[in-house]
Amino acid sequence: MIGEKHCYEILKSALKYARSKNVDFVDFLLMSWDSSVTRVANSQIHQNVSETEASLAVDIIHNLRIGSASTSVLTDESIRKTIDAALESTKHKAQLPGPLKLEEFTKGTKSGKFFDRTAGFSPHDRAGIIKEIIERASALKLVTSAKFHTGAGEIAVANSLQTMAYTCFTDANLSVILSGEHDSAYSSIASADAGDLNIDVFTDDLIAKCRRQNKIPLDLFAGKKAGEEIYYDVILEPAAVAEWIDFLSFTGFNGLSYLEEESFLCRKLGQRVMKENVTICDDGNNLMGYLLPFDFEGTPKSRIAFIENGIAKNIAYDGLLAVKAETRSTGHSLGAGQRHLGAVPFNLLMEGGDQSLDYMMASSEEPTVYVTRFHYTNVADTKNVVLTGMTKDGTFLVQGGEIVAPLVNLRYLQSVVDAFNRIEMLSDPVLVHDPDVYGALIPSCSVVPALKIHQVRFIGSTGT
Amino acid sequence: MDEKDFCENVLQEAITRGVDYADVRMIPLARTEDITVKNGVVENLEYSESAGFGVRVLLNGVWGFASSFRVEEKEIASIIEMAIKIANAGAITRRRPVRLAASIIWKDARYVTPVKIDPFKVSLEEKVDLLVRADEVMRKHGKKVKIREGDLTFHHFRKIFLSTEGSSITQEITVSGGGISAKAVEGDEIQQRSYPNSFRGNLATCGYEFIEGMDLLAHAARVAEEADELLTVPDCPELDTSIILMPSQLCLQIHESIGHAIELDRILGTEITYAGGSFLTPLLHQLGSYQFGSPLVNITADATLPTGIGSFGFDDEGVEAQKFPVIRDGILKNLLTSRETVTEINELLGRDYFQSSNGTMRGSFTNRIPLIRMTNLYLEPGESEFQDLIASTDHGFILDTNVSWSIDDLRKNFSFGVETAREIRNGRIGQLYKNAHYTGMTTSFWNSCDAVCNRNYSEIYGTPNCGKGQPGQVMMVGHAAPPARFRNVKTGSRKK
Repeated sequence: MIGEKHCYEILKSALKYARSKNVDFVDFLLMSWDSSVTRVANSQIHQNVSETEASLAVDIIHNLRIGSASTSVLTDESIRKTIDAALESTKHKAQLPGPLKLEEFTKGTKSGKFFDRTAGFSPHDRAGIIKEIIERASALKLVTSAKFHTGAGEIAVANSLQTMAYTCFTDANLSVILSGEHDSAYSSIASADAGDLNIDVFTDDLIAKCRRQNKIPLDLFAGKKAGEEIYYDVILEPAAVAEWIDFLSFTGFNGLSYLEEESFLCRKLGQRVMKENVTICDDGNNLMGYLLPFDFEGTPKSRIAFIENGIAKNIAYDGLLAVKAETRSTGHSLGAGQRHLGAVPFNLLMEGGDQSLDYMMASSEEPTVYVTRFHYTNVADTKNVVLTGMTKDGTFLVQGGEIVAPLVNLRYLQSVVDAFNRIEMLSDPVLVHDPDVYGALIPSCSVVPALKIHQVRFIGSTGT
Repeated sequence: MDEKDFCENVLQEAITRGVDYADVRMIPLARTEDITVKNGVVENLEYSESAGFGVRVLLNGVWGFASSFRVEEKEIASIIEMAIKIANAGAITRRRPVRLAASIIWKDARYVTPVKIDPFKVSLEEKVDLLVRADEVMRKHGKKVKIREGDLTFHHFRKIFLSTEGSSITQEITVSGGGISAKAVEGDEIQQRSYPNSFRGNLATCGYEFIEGMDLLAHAARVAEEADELLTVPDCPELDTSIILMPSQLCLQIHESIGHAIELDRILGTEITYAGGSFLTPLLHQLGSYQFGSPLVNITADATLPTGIGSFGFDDEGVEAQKFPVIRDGILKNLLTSRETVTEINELLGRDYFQSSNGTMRGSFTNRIPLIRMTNLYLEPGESEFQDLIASTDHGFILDTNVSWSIDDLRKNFSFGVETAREIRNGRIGQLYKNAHYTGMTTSFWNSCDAVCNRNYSEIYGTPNCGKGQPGQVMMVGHAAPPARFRNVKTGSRKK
């Protein structure tokens, strides 16, 4: 990390130079992070990496033309060159519909969830925890695969409309897969405070789950004709729910999808689109999750409900989409250089119910498929949020109130909107955070419950 | 300081601290330019630069890796120290020490992508103008087209690799790509057509001449008209029938169901926590005899393929780019390997099946470790003429241009959605269908291949967004294929 003081210095210097060019609008997004990942395969650490990264992105709007540039070289010379490149990009023909619409700005430092002990977590700290898990699993002849991430990051934004804001955060997340003779079990835990991770309880639960399926898995498609579909009630663990909600959000809540008529919410605001027990919102200030006090163009975060008691309520906008929609930003900007991707919630919360995961299983008399998580989910049809993907790392058949057998992995093809009209039970929501970090480290997470859903469509399996 | 001197200082610091092996990758400057024109407006015009260096150290048979965006002399000591700390920490779980297969030492080696027109010297005005003109053509020809998009993307980077074994390699890679798409919307129906491929088009290791060769303007009218037409046609029926995959879709089929399955790191279990494993793990002892596909299935990996997006001179372990058979006459002959995995698999097999790495290790940037990645993996042409393929098909669909993809973690059960499905009845092309998808099992599918078109129909496509690793790495990999036919495949509507 480069530190709060240095972030402000860089932004002030960059703003001063950009203003000297007399542009109509300029904004900067500065991100930096120190991030380390320890990976385990075949019960030994096999990949163990650390990175120190930073990037500065700039968007310039001049004469209703937008230009973007970014750099990871944070010298004065490079930053000026980057600003010049963004300005040069504004000299093209085609125009934006209007100036960016930003009405409320963040000023000053806003606290995120930052813990020194997470930021200072060493390779030996991670390896020590991993070693304990490996030893406990190996004693039961279980093979361990794992990922343990610890890191710290900072986000600073500034624009020519007086916005200047900074926040920092930490993250520790551990996910483990234990493999027995026949199948595998997955679980993950996360916290901004690495000291909060209760490794003993986590490991106990995971081993118990893995032991429950130590028999030959059933194939629900055995004996079925080619092309035959099957429908089962399902119990989804929070990790599976979070994946569906992420897709629901990116394709449905994103203001870009809405304006381009791809969202399932088009022309449905104010109408019932899901069962009344469904409330999904974004809240960067939710203490159960990771704090993100402002979006990547500096708009303060607030609780925005997209679905409330089954009714479609809001769409996510940034300053640019707000111009097109003739509305206000909802605080979901991706910031300089990323505005073309739309507006995206990063701190989704699905409100829960009062049925526990254990109760969902105990009350399932009819055959019910229990899903730990999904693999390689993708959008088959955007407008109805039809997703397809595979189950993974612990799929069970529940019947008569208990797990009766592990199952081979299943392929589903299901509209999430339709499925969320058939939710029968919801547990307490929990933090789900097992990110696939491809670029910058950001404080993104989901807080979601486990769900029981009536009749989900499956179209195949991996076979035995 | 000279770039090579910087890298030598990095290695010297590592040697001084007692590592058994180290290599350093340094990118002094990587440039990217992305342009998107949507509905006549420039939605995105971004230029980005980045730099960094990353160091792998091997100490007592355990890897450590650290990287920084600060390419500065004063950063070297702390990065080496971190890499060594990491290696020492990892040692407490060591079961099998890392051993590297021997590799040729390349001194002052150099590779440069052949480029006729430097894309960064073509003016923004010309690039934007091309997309705006294509947009205008689509606007005129697509009455129900709501979203028109044109994209161009260009990358250039210089990468220096040095190892304590003595290799010293400099590479300059240039990538150019682009495409157009039209989305027609009517009620709850959205239909898209793209050229030359979906998801921002096609890419190549090439200069701006690649963009000129695509001739986006000539295809813009058809793309818009076909998007309109798709709104009016029925959904693809649920059938068990023959399919002919056109090159761009067949390339993704190769990528997902063959390419990832033959990555040796996945086979050995090192991607279980994210990308997954491979169904080939329990079949390793059949390497050299396993019937992966029908005798018409011949798959080659070729990092030297001209314009292939997965082409380079040397991988990120300093191993030279290679061309080698993966599947011959349907039999699995080879896998994608690295220096580390070659020694491990030979131990598992109890024989030296592999002599050396076949050079597939790449990291997405200097801040990420190299992983086994596809290079350019392609289906060798067969002998069929396309018209004969149609004429000899009683019933089936010609499936073209991907819209969605999914496959399980062991690469067995796949599902793909495509933009168009043209029905074949009694050897003639007929009805167009929308929302088509097909699903199947990898080896059954490849064993059902009964016709492959000849080289006149083969096309090269880039997959620019292949994800793998934790932290995640996006890699550009290439594929090529002519149209090919597969029997008894389940088709249907993905919208249902």
